[in-house]
Amino acid sequence: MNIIETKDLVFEYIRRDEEGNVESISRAIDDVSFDIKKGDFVAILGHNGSGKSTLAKHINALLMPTEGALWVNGYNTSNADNVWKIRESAGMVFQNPDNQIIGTVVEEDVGFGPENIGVPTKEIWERVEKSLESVGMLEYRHHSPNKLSGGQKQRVAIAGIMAMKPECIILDEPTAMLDPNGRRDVIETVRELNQKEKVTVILITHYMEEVIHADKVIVMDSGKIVLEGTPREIFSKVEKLKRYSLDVPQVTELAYELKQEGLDIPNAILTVDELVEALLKLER
Amino acid sequence: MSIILDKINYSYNNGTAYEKQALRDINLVINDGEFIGLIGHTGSGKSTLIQHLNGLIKASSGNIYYNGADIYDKDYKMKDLRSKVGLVFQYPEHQLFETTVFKDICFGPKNLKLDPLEVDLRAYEAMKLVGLGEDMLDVSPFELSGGQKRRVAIAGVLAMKPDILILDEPTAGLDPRGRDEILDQIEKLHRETKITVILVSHSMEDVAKYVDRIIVMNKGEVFFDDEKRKVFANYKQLEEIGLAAPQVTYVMNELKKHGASVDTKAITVHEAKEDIMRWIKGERR
Repeated sequence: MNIIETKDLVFEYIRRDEEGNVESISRAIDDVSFDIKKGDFVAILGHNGSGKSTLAKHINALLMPTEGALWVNGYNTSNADNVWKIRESAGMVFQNPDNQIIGTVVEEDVGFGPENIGVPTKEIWERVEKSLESVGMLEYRHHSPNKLSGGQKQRVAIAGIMAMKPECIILDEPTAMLDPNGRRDVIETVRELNQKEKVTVILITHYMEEVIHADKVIVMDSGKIVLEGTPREIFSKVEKLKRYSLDVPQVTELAYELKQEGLDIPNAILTVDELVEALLKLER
Repeated sequence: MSIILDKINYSYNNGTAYEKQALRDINLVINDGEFIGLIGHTGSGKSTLIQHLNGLIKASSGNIYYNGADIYDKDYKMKDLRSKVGLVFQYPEHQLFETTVFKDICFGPKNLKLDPLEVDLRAYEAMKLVGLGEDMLDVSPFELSGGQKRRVAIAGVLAMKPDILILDEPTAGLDPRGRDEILDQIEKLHRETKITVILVSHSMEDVAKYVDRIIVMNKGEVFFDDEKRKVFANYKQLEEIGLAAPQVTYVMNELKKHGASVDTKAITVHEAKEDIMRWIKGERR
């Protein structure tokens, strides 16, 4: 079953002068159609300005399509009556951890969402506890969020979304401002939520190493989907990715370079272990 | 000509229950023309350290000498130091405010009360150094892409003609091409003007590719300070403090562990490729 479906999606940013006349139109999303299966881990890649974030904002109805349509869990986002139902099923985590936390105590921050939709108090606390546990932040429940590290803050932000019991989480460059430890913790948390809680994950990122475990990768360029496939399929196209201002993990690049030199190793190596194994096999 | 840090200690919230020592006994010498990478996980003291270098934070104890002069001497002109040690903060584009790119870059030198002609000249030069074309002169900085905005911010610091350029994670939030472009430009700048560069980064791959010397911070102390290959050779210790070596270094170490005669010193894709090819050809001969 598909949790997200889109058909011929177009979004235009329209700039107007002081009199309200149209000054310029730029097409941020240009005729995009794709589906996301329930429970999948999908990564979206693309350079700055390729339309990834604009697309993400459509998924929880922060933006509405200029043309075409997008359905979340069967609800059409263009219908204003659906907005709250959509935001309950699709939660969004943004780049800057400091911009998303509003509570003065971690557990209050996580409880903010469910409280807003009128969940009974007892259940709010149950949800808070469960979601903090699912991101590994339960021991910090009585802490002040501003004493946490960036990675911990992001995990609290994710817990806040989990407390809404969403079916789908959209993360827009959640690790861009974090150090390597924080990045690893956040990505591991997200993978675990995907595997254990069966939450659909849509991850937007510039870090190629973060997408190697995804079920599907979508590459965007000038508002269009230009590549779509498994990480292995995508990362076998080294030259093409570079043309779209993207990159491959360092070990994939090394494997590609060795292959160019004539070594007989498989396409699209994704991890250190895979490359070591392939090279040792050559030796034998 | 150099910066010398002699037994620098720094603690904040002194005399309260929240007192915390952010830097502990830091001894460093930074020579002219070096390209240094500064790494360490969040809270290791990197940012506190670089703010000492241009006098934004004053050490609790210890001395800093810039070109032989004690910067904490009461007659020392801190303003001179700040124009000589340029600091580019994280997300520097948030500090752009002028109506045009050119005016924004002129802001720093104008405050040095230089001749207006000299101000313009420096701004032009700085734009060229970061690879911004003349067609950008009158554009509003807010209409530019993330990578371009960042260049404008860096140009604003370069227009002060610093001897030392310190960049705090200059590539955060940029896409892979944006990252490469900014770092290539900095590398070129270092090569052509011999400016001392200190690059604070979370990317071991970037540090491996660009810098010569690496300073590793951990819990407010200098953990390693050495040539980059020697630092990455200690990748197990780096992991213990939340860091790592570049991915290719792991490939080489794993190969070696399985008996391959490769050099584990490789830290870039190019070096690793050369060495693996040497090993494979040797095996087949």
